[in-house]
Amino acid sequence: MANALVHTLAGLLMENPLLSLEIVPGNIGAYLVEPPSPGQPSKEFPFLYTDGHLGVPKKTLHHLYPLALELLNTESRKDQLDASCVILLANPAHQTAMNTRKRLIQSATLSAHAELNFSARLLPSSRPASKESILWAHRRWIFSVLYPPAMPYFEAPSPGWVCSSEDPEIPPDVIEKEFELISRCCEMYPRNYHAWSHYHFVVQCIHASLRSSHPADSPHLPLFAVEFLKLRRWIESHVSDHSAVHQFCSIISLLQSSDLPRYQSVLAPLVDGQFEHALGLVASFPSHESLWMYLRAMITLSPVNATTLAGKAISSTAALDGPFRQKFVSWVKFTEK
Amino acid sequence: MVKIFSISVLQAPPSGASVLLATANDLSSFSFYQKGSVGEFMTFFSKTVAERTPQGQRQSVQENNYTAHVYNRGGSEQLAAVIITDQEYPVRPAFSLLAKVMDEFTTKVPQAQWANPGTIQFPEMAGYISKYQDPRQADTIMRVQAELDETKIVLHKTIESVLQRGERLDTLVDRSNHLSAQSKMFYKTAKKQNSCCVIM
Repeated sequence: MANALVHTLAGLLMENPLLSLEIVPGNIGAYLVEPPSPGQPSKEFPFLYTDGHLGVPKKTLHHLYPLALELLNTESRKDQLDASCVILLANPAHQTAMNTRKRLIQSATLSAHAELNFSARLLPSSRPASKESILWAHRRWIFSVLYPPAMPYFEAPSPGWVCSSEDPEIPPDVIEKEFELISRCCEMYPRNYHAWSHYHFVVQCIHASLRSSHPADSPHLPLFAVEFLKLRRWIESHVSDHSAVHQFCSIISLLQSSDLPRYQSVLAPLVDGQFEHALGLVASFPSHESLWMYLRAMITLSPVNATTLAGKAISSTAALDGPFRQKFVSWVKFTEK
Repeated sequence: MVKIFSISVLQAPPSGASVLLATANDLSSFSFYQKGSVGEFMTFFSKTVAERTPQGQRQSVQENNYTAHVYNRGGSEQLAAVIITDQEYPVRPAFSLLAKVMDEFTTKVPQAQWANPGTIQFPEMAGYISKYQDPRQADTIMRVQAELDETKIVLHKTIESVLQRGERLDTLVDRSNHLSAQSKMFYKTAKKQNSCCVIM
């Protein structure tokens, strides 16, 4: 009976159309309705499932967890698959369950597309899942199974980027969904370093696709431009997200050293004007250090007139005295030496 | 994240319960099964702090990830407004917005209607909450308004410190008629697991 619930939950997680997945507090008892009616949570179906939104009560999930751990060790592949779904929902850092799923993909029991879908449900389901590095790494592994690498090249285009021949060529529509997933996970768990590292990987894949022998009208190009502007807006509303600022600055340095086709017409205009952007944000939110670091990066990335920009930044922030501005001023003095 | 979750206008008499006159929420960042309870807690939090702010005073009350800024304008109208933001939303734009919302409310909604909050139509509130998600939009209001003396704003690090002697948040939650049984359960579980930031 209890094992049947593991299979029911796994079915919901893998197969049913789901708009969202979350773990709700407490036991199913708190959600039961009187009188019992079909489709509503009950003792036999202890889950909330309304309009495609699945809620799994935490205590119910923890009750199923040891049963799923036992099932994982059985011979049946179906049992292993279902058990791993439940285990990962309760404990997204369960490396053995993740490896089991990798083996199931390699033995063609589980399709890589289905796994991509499942992992996109799992990641934003809880705060620990959103920031779980091995879940993100698992996603990158699935991409490498699904998509062949873009044309290989070996030199790193810019510091901080390690583009290699391994970067898969991911279709633009899949990339778009990937960016949406990253945003959701960064809302779920703010300043989410692991989600932003994954962002870095996706940008690397776009860059690899653009560098390979594709025609200049590659759909990756407008996508790149749109995402660049989205990231810029993200920084405006997430002023303490240091990782986001870091990704933004890395992309600018990547674009500056870029020899991509159509670079001049589409991508070069994006890079201009970011110094003023940083300066404006510092003026509005002077108590956020990440923005001061953004300002520093924008000065460093303009080697030609760094001194002029630094002078301008110091004079226009004169009214914002505080520890971060003092640090900034000493940094300018130090770099000028 | 720089975010406004809720703005409310209330009538807060010097003693007794306050009455919610108009409110708007932006709960898009919360999950499907949490939204309802979070909305109830926004109202509960707003009423609780408005009732404990003396007339003519401005206060900021932090509770976990949220900050409620409240301005009790007092006077014969006994009007107060509360904005609930996250910790990153700057203080000055929040208070400028409160003053503007109350001015707008008193011009648009005649006082005769206040006794019957169900009939109040104030759709502008939803517009405010979406426009001022970017606090830089409030720069234009701030230029018109008289300079706000920030030193007079009382800052509380937890909601417990605005409560009167002998009052406890747990008891208030337990006794509230405006919170559903499910919301109270969410609150208790979150508190027990020390998982702040979700409900309240």
